[in-house]
Amino acid sequence: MEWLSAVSKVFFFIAAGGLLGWYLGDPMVGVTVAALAVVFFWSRQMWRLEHWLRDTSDSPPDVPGIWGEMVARVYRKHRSAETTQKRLQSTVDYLLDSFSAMRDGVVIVHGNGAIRWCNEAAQRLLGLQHPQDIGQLITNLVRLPEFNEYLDSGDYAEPLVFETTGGTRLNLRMVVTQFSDGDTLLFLSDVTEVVRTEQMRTDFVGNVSHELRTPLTVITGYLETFLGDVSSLPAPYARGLEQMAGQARRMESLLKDLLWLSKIESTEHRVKNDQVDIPALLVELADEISSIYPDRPLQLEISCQEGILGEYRELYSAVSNLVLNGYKYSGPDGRVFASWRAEAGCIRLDVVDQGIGIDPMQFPRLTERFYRVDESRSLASGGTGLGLAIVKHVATAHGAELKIDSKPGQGSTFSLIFAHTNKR
Amino acid sequence: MLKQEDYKQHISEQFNTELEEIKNHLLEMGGKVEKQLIEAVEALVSRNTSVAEEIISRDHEVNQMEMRIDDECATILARRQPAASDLRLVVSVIKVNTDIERIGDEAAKIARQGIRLADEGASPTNFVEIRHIGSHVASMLHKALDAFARLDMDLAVDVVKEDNDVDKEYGSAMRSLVTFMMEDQRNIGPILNEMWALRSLERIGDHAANIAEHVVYLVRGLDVRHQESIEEYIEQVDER
Repeated sequence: MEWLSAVSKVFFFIAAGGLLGWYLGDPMVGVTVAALAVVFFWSRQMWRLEHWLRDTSDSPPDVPGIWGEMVARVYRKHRSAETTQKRLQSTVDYLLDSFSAMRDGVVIVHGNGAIRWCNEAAQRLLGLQHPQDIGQLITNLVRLPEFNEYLDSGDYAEPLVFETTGGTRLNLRMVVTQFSDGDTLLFLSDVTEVVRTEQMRTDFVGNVSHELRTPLTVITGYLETFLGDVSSLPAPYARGLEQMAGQARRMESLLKDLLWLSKIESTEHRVKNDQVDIPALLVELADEISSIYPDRPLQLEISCQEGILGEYRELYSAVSNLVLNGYKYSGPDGRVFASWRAEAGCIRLDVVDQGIGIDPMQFPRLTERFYRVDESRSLASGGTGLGLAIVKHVATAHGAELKIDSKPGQGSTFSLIFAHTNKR
Repeated sequence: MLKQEDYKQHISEQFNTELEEIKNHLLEMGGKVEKQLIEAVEALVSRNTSVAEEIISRDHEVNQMEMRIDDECATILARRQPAASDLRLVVSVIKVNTDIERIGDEAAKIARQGIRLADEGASPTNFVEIRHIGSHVASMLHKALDAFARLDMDLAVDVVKEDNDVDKEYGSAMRSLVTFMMEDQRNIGPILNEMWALRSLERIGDHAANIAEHVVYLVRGLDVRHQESIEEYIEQVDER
């Protein structure tokens, strides 16, 4: 044992001092002198050790005996701690570097909303300044009502797409992730180009449909005039003109649906605040159906008198599309049911038919524009192929979910499920 | 000079939060008004009356926020009797609050002119002036609010100077609109409405400059209103 040998050395030294003192006349003086020498030696080593510990970047002192052993151990511990720290620091630096180099903006926000860190892309996208803005509330600098609301809501399931203000206006898409103690990580990507393309597409469809309507009105106008006096027409022409009129009508309804769809799309993000009385809407729809299919009334089942917030015309077109689909795809005496009822946490509208049904494989594609399960059948029914696309857009605009349940040959159920938060 | 951290030096944690709160609420309201302004100009230019109506109906939210902030400021004055930089903060929040609310009113006025212009049909000017001055003024407001959030005096001084540019642009826009009226008297109706909208934009520029002046007051304790050249004035004070 190091300690034992050091202590026994001290005793030997003091004993040797006593022996020398005894030889010279007074053993106590010898013991005292030896003890003092030991105390002096030990306090000097202690001073050197203490001095070195204050600034360990100097090389360790060269001290003998147990002191040297202690210095060596402290030095080794210290060195290994230093290497670990360096390694950790380089890992942290590496991670921060990789965040900094990202093309997407990254902001780390403290639980109270203050900015902790942001990378260069975030500074460019949101106009932040590093490091002056550290500690500022992010909402004080971004200052967009929808941004504030989104961060306050705490519901980050859906990413937020917003347009920045200030010099250059950008469309950003933000994904928020919460981690550790309520801190949040904001990921921002620039979607300006995507939004612009999407806008161009919507505008294009809207404009083209609008432009095509005028010539079509002229064509149908003349066709109607000609057909109004069929008897005066040569027989071969009459048949051709009738077919032309039929196709022109089809094209008209197609353009009407396309225009309607692009209108719904362009107002999709607007807040809808009108109280819509769904039971009354269903009654009105049943009225209209009775004029189209006089002997197959729409069976209504209204077990809830609540309405929802939304746009009457949009909701009416969605529900009537679902109901008319029900009639088109069931046999000449198939019945169609519509129900409106409240369930736990939601209100749902179901449209049930006893028609030909749909293969579940087709569900994901049903709401695509112009998608048809069976081409020949759809053409015969006179549909435009846009009905379910309209329904889907109306549902999204009203925060509702469109659910399809069907089996081939056993009829289908289309449900619009409205969240209860939709009503006020 | 006032720094960000200076609000965190009070012994009373509650007082710190109260001061932070009025600042945060003010900036929240500023963001709302900035958006109202941008949307109002967009609605006018694109003749979108439904958006314009929404803007008008949202103006009361801004008024509510103004009243709340005033109330909070009065409470702080009464309960804490703030001194020095705290007092300057409360005073400038009260003043900026009024300016921001006025900007909200002007934005609603622009939206109202937008509805009127949309009813009147085509405009000979294509709203070039409104577009241009509108985006200039919106960026001024953005910078003024940034300067308030960051206590950035240099940026505030820039905004005050920028107001002169807006005034010049307003003058030349007026002249070009007058020539349109002289060309064809049928233009007078729509052009008058456009002038009202431009007038509102010019007022918003003034309010943004006021906000920036209050930022200088908040940071340095200098009242730089009604000075010929704000930079020279600050230099003079520095030399003394």
